Amino acid sequence: MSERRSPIEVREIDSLRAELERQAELATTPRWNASPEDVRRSVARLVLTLVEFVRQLLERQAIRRMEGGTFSADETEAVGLALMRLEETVRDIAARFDLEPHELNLDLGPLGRLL
Amino acid sequence: MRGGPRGGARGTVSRVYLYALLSAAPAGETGVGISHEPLRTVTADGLVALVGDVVEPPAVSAEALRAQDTLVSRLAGALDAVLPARFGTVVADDAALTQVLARRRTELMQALQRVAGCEQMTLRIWGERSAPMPPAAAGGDGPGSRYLAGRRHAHERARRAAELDGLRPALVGLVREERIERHDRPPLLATVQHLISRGASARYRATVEAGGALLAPWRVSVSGPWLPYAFGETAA
Repeated sequence: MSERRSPIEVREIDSLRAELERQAELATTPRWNASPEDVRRSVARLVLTLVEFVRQLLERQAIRRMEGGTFSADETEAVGLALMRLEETVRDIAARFDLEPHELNLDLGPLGRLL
Repeated sequence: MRGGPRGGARGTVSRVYLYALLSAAPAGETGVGISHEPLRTVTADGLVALVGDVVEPPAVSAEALRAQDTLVSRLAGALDAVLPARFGTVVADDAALTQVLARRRTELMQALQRVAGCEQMTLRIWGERSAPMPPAAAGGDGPGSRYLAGRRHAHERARRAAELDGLRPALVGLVREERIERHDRPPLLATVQHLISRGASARYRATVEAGGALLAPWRVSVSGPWLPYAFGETAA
């Protein structure tokens, strides 16, 4: 059956295709290239991913404590400031290696992605 | 139960490709997998895994994904519960698979019970901008406190699909569980997976379509029924 799609539906399909391509790219195991620059970038990506993993754990813990009322005002400020600076640092270093935020992830095979 | 690495042609060693966890072994022939390998089951402590022996996992492609979905759906039709495995899940051998199943037995049994007699419907939410959230509660005067309050707000937002609020009353009694993934890349704002009873997809679809006007300015599209991919991913 031939049916002319309205413009908004075509745009939606294009948007969905872009999202699926993005997911497929994340799911593809990258080929290891032995060039020195790629090795440095890969190591940086691995290290920053692990740091980001720890940062997200600490952030969730801090939020739970904040919601549970077990943080004083000073502690909330200190922990929030530390996490904010940590996020900025991770982002800055990632940018130097031309790494996008969504690239800071590890594929753990059957266990899914780390982040 | 057979175990250990399997020798393929010319001394190549095959690995075990996991298709799904089942509530019971399928009756009759299981057929062949997407790499044309014979399918078989591995049973460990009450868990039944549908597997095939492959030298390399199949490459990701639309055709391969559809083929795997078709294959598992065909077998799932006669079973009460299926947890489809993530595409490309490979373990070294039966012994390794058995070890994983034993270690995660409780979690996997609970996941199978959760999806028993169920299927998945997928909603995609479309619009030019996401539904506004109430502003983040003031966390304090300093930048650190405001940052933490903002992060809490972001976590809350990631778990919500406020765009569907107009439809939720009509879905009570139909939807057993919900999973939300926000994209916030207009026009694709979010994907919502709903776990419903098998056979209820027509009523679900009719309910969503009838309530579409209540969601303006957002629009939703419905697909399904699917295997319960979103409700066993972390398990299987």
